[in-house]
Amino acid sequence: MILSRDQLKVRLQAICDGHSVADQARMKVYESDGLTAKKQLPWLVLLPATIEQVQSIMQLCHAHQVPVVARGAGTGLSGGAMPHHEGVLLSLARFNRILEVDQVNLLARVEPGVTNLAISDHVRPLGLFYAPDPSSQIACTIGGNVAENSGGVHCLKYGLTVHNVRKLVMISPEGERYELGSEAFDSAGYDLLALMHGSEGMLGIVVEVTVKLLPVPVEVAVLLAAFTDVGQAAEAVGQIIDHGLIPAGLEMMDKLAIQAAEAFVHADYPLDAAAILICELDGSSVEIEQQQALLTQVLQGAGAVQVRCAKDAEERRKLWLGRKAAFPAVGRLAPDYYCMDGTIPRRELASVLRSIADFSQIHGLPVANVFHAGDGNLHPLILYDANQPGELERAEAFGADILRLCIERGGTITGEHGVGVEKINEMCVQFSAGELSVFHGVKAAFDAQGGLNPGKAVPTLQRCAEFGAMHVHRGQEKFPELERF
Amino acid sequence: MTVDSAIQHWQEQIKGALAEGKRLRIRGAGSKDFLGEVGAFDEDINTQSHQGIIEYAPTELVMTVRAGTPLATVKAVLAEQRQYWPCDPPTFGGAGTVGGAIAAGVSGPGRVAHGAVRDLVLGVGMINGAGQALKFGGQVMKNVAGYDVSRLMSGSFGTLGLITDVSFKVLPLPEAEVTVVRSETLEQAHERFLQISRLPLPCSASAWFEGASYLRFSGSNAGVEDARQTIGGDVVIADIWSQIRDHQLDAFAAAKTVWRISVPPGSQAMLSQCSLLEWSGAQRWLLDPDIDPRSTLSEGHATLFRAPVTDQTQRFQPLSAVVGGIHKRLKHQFDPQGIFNPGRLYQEI
Ligand SMILES: Cc1cc2nc3c(=O)[nH]c(=O)nc-3n(C[C@H](O)[C@H](O)[C@H](O)COP(=O)(O)OP(=O)(O)OC[C@H]3O[C@@H](n4cnc5c(N)ncnc54)[C@H](O)[C@@H]3O)c2cc1C
Repeated sequence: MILSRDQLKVRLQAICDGHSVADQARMKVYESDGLTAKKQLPWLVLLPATIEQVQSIMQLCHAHQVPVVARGAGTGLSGGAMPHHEGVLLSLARFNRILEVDQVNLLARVEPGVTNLAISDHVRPLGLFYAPDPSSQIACTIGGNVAENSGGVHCLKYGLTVHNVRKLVMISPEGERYELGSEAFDSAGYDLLALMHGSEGMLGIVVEVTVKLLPVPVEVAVLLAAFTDVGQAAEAVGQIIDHGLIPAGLEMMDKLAIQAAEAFVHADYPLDAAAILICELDGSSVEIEQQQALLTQVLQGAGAVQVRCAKDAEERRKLWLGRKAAFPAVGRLAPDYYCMDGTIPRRELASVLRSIADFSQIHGLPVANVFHAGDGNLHPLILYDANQPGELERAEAFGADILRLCIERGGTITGEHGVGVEKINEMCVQFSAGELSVFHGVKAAFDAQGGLNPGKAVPTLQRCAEFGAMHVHRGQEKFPELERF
Repeated sequence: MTVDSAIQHWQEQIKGALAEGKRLRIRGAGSKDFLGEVGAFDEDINTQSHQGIIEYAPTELVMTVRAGTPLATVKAVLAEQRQYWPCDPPTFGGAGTVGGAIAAGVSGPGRVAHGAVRDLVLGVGMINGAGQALKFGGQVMKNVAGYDVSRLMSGSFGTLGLITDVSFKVLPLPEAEVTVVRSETLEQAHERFLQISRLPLPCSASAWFEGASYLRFSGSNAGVEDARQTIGGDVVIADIWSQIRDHQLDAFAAAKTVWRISVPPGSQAMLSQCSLLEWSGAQRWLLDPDIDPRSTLSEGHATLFRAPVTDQTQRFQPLSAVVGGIHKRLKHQFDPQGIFNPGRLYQEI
């Protein structure tokens, strides 16, 4: 039976036992995610708490062609959870239970609305932890982490979300329940578990996640190295890896970011440094001792003017706090900031940083740089004031320049924050029409009607034509004749 | 052949096949011809002539190679720079190409510590069933632009397209590595493997067969020595791990059918019947079992890994209806006319 919109609303609200929001004022909290420049009120917010409720919602919405946008904590930075004006905003916030911890197979089965940090907090008394740790971990949900394939400061050694999730329970746009992956290390058929990671809520609703747990390392050491030149700090990153060291975390901050973090959380960072590296080692006590000596030597050899090792847990916490609070800290320097997320081959770090400094001059906006240096993942934070006419546009143009540069240098427009609505035009630059068509094909295989998160992540070919972007070929293709042998 | 001319050559072959309604079997060294269903095909599309390392900068921890590059070449070039590809895919009969390793998605003993083939794939170049040359992913560690088609290619057995080149993550070779052996029963070994996986030790491989368990530790000198002392056992000098990986153990030579059982490490399923236990207990090999292991398996999945061609048993575990439907639709999107390896993975794709 086909219902009118009002009848449908009543039915949908009833499915959730009244856990819904429909009035404009109260829906305002849902109008954007962490990318506050993009706003949209939904038609209706629903907060189901059971898998059956999600299935009923999806069935009804599918039958009535109502778009559905999933939302975790709304900390996403690309507008992925921005609502659709005619659609349901499906909040998974009430799915907040840790269902089971399997200490034999080292797994935790959790609902998608559980926060990232809650998992590690829950299993720490057992000597275990969940490795990916986005800076937003106190707030962001594991469902959102899967949808964005989120990273964290420990990804260099422990991998991204995709490397740490074993199984998902999914609801299809038609309301069918299915499972991807398993408690075993792999499963039969195509690796749809991997495909679901980073799919930005476009392919299905995640209603349960089984994550892999790891034993907590015996010892941890955190080192801070200060440099008077950003280029030297960037070079040091390559040299660390050249010496066979894979630190658990390897992060870099530039002067403006250091100053902002220091003012915000008093992490005891050297204020006169042009850049700092924060480097974490983990392992057994002897192992750490050895590696720390080597690391210190490499850092000094690379020109570090100061190398300091945190003395105790409190000092380690402070060093990380400054890094993890870098976004809000930089946020205090200006009314608004725009966080970018390109990834480049590590060897390009120094030169890309110089270009970003040039762009900053050209666009007349300051920029603070924070990176997951070990992974070559940049987070330039562009400072602007949305109330000044033209500044938002300038910030966006600045951001687009950075993304194009990342593609030119053999990198990508997004390392971990996703495309969402934000980088949809740049997708036309990174991918050819044929490649974009494959993405549309993947979408159609999971969501033929296109009801899930419409308009996000993959641009239509028509949009690319209007945007007028040229597909820039990746660096690797430019010199095919230069073989190694 | 240069990259472009090889790709053009294949595109022509594919367009020809599309025009004539021919089905193509994608083949590298043929070292895994036995794996999967026989499938149906009219001609081969061979990647072996498309060899060579396209790009490799050791400090980036990334290597990009043409699909036909032998695994042995990759290993040798990496070793020169004291690096390795930790997923360590098997080289059955000593052969195997990178493209085949990715397409089959079979990982070696090191999988437990540093990930499966799919975990290390960063990007692919491929030709789809319409003959279009496409690129997904790239050469960087983190990349969420577009759906992760590169990882999807891993384990797809060539049914979604022809992989032309691949970028994957590599790691520095560990400073030290030691393997220790101890005589014990399968049950004792299983229990101990589980205990060790709960300890923060640099255990990089585990296996039990023929009454003895083997554990490998890899990492810094200090860390490995620490682990050796904690765990005990006799040090093994021989390269036992490639024999395990490539199924060169005596029992495998005599076996007609080889089943691979993939279960949670702590599972009791098929434990007592297995001839080789690996991956802390998560991978179990059954040789010539009396009954189809799937008839009693309540978790994980079972693959009939090696069997006489006349054996009609379905090679891969059947899929649920919903997941099977997604497979069919994906296949149709990538390869609308069904020209690539039809039936190699499942009848319907
Ligand atoms: C201060 C700050 C620091 C950050 N640091 C990091 C960082 O270090 N690393 C990093 O990777 N990211 C970081 N982020 C980005 C963000 O936190 C992550 O992308 C996070 O994974 C989003 O989770 P969420 O629950 O807030 O998802 P939301 O923002 O609510 O949603 C994100 C996307 O996931 C989809 N989605 C959510 N739940 C589901 C579900 N159950 N099923 C299907 N789709 C779903 C949504 O539709 C949307 O497309 C940071 C953000 C902030 C604000």
